[in-house]
Amino acid sequence: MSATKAARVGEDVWKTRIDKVNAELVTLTYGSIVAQLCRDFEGDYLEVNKQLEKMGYNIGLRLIEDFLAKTNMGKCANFRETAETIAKVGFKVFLNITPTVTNWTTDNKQFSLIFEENPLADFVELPDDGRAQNELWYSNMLCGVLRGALEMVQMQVDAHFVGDILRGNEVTEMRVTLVRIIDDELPPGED
Amino acid sequence: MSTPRIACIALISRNNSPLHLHPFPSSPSPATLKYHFLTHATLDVFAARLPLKFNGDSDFGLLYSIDEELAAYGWLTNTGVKIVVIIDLGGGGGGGSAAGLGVKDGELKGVFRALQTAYIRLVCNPFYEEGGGGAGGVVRSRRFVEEVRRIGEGWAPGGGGGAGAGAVGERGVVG
Repeated sequence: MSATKAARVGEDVWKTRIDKVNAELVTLTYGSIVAQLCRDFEGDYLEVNKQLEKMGYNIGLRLIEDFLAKTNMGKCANFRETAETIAKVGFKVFLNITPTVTNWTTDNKQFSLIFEENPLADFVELPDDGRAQNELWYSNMLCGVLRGALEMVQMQVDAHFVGDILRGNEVTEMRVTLVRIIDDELPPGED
Repeated sequence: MSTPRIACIALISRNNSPLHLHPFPSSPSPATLKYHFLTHATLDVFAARLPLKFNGDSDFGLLYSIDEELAAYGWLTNTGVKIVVIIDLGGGGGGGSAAGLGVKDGELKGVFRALQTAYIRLVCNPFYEEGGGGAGGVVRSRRFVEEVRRIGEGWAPGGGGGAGAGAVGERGVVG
């Protein structure tokens, strides 16, 4: 499936089959979760990152089912197609954004998602304690969602942020790496 | 005679503690303390006028003026946050000047709206805690301080900068 077709499918599904919810509700809910985690772990941002990723992972495991049902997507032929589908259909359908897929490695196993906009991070200003700017990946839940969702379709990936506008980086960038294709015999989710 | 300009912007919490006070020009000067006093004095005017205010509007208009030189305008949100803008009328003496007439009624609405929008963006930040962060609850958000500075410096009588700033700020929130 080409990139333009993915974009069309994403647009189409988003318009016709998705229940919309107020953006501030999402933003503030996510913000409360992150802020509460920061309080609960007393500013251990590395642990907060880990927890956000884990929450996202559990969301991803379920969300993929909904995604496949709503979009009627077939199997992706290769990882490049998977990337286009994630960016132009997945993010479009659930967050109404389309991050840019770029920075492929030559072996086609690693790419970057550049987020021009990030509805989760509206209003946010990281705590000015000298550590959050270097340690907290505010939107880390998204990494977990990708990992969980792809694991359910036989792809083990590693996803992590390498830049965030909130931290003062130029762009918000997530790096996604295909670790391996999980064999069908193995029950998914078992390490 | 120079044109009126914003001399100071202040935000006060519902418990009447100062949230933020920004003098213009922003370099620290002895005038800063004066603005603290002047802002403090507006609290009584807010309190006195509140029972008489029935139109449900946030705009308190002119609170008082001093020596045909400074005029304090007020805005009270429904959550009790007070915004005070002190205008330097630029009269500097001289009876025939436009001092006291320098700013028309409602001309500051854009400024107040923009400031309120900036405040909304501030409190919507999940890491913001009112009254937290030491120093008596003074706002330390860099983005907010910068936005207030921009609004204050961008305003000019006749609806130029202030109204524009408001429009930009409101788009930010809606989008």
